[in-house]
Amino acid sequence: MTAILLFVSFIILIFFGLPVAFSLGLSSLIYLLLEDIPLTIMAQKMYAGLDSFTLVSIPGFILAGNLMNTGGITKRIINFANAILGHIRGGLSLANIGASMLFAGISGTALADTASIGAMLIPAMKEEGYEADFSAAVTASSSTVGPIIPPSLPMIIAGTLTGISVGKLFVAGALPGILLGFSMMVVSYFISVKRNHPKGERQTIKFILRSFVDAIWALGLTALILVGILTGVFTPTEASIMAVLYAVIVGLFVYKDLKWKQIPGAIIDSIKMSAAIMILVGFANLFAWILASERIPQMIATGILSISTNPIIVILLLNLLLLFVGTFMETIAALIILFPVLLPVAVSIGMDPIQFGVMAVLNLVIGLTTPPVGVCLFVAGGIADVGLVKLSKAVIPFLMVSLAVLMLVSFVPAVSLFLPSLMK
Amino acid sequence: MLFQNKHNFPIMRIINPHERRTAINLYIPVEVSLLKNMKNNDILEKILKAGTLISFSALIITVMLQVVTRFFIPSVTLVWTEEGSRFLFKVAVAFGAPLAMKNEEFVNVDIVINMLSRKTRDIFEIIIHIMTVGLFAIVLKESYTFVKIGQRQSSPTLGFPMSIAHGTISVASFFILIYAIVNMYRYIQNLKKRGGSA
Repeated sequence: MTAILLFVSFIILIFFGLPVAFSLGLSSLIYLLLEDIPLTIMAQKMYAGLDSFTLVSIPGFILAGNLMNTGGITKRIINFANAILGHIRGGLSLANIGASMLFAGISGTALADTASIGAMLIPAMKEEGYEADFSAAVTASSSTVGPIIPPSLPMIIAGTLTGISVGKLFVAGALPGILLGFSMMVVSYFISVKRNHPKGERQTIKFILRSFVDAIWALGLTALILVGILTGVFTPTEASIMAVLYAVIVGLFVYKDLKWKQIPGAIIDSIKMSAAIMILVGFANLFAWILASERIPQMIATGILSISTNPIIVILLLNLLLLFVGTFMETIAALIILFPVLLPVAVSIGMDPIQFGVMAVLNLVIGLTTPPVGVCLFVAGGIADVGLVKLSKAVIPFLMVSLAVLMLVSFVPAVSLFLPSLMK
Repeated sequence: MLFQNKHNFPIMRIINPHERRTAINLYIPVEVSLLKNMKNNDILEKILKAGTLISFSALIITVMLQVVTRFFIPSVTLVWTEEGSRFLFKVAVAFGAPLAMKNEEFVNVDIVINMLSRKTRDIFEIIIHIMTVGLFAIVLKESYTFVKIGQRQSSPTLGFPMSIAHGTISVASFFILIYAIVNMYRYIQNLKKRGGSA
């Protein structure tokens, strides 16, 4: 009975506007008071939630991304993508998607991707005659590959919460992420042909090589992270700290865009952002402990399985639930609440936890480009100066692509599981 | 270009729920938000920033030591680096989370509250502030018992009493509580000002 109250109070508090982290804490508190459980468990479970070596990689990756961004990386990545793709019809939008995919290998969030690439490419696209809503839609949609292509903050969280290998989750996301990016390029190309978008000049091989050499240090970071984790040389946490070191050295001595005095500010900002996520993780651990002791995940699993035991229908139901929550809730918050609860359901129909991890994250990031709460949409719209309604319509073709890739990930295990199967 | 910011931490500002409330035109130029921050750059904030900076820098060095010794000096096995970095991480979070609280950077869902009238929304906001203060007051009080439990244990590899590690929860909740109270006070002050001019 009190378990139902836990859920009801949590949902009421969230829609009341209380931050998700505090809603988790407060609804847990109500439960503990009603069940007469000593409240010290609050401090204990928060502490236990943070006591993980893997979580340390979150501030690491955020900081590396911020440092790289300060160090002029974005500009170089865009130049490189444009040198290769710019001469095709709708070249700038293809370069936008390409840059998002490359940028995804540095940052672990979609929002960082939208903000930094959008700030540079949306004004440029508008100037060349692309529609504002199309420019914003391409930017917002393509940035959702950020948390799919490693490194990925949501996957670190998913792995930490459930004990799935974060390294394997990272690697599992690579193929679906690349697939997502390329399919968006195809859609974008056909739209551009239809609307007769401009194309840039074909660049000489020499120019392309030069832009590649210029961007190689940025691409090197992705290689360092991926190869390091794939071969088992680094744990994700070590990889994140090595990425920080790499970003500092490249920014200070190679690109020389980063100044020593910018580093403390970057550290403080990155930790501040991670700390807000960690308070969420701490309270979520308390909440999850209550859920587990009330056997809620098992109840939800039986509930869903009582609707149908047909794997195809169960997978569709899981997708629907995750997509729905993703439209109004922030990725990491939604993941913390839903992932441990839904994982047993997925496992019971024979799904691999790693495949489910990729599927869940993909579901939730799709919500970043849909109303009512689609942060990437808001940011891209803000830069391009387009209204939300118009932008939501422009996003639809890309949304269809994302859903198609989602179906592939959901029903074809090899898409996510092939690469991790190569790992030892 | 207006949006190409020199200081370059776009992620931070966007997550601030209060900025998100203005929906589509949320992209406030950095200079403005920097000015706003500078004005109330209080002594407490400076301490927290220094704590964050020192602990995370120490963490970076610890993890690097772990990697370097493993690859280049196999004869030396540092057993404490894993535990040390977990501890430093918690310290960094304890100092960093209050800073996030100060800027109200905790994610919330604001579709419902945005639909309310100004007056109802004010009431909701005040209740939210009160609930936040209450929550962290309780966490702070309970973390004290947790610290006492830690006095009897010592950490496995570093050997210091666990009460120090457990204390990170007290530090975090104490400073978050302070900013929760400050935020509530500011909101009410603002409300009074608005009420006066209307």
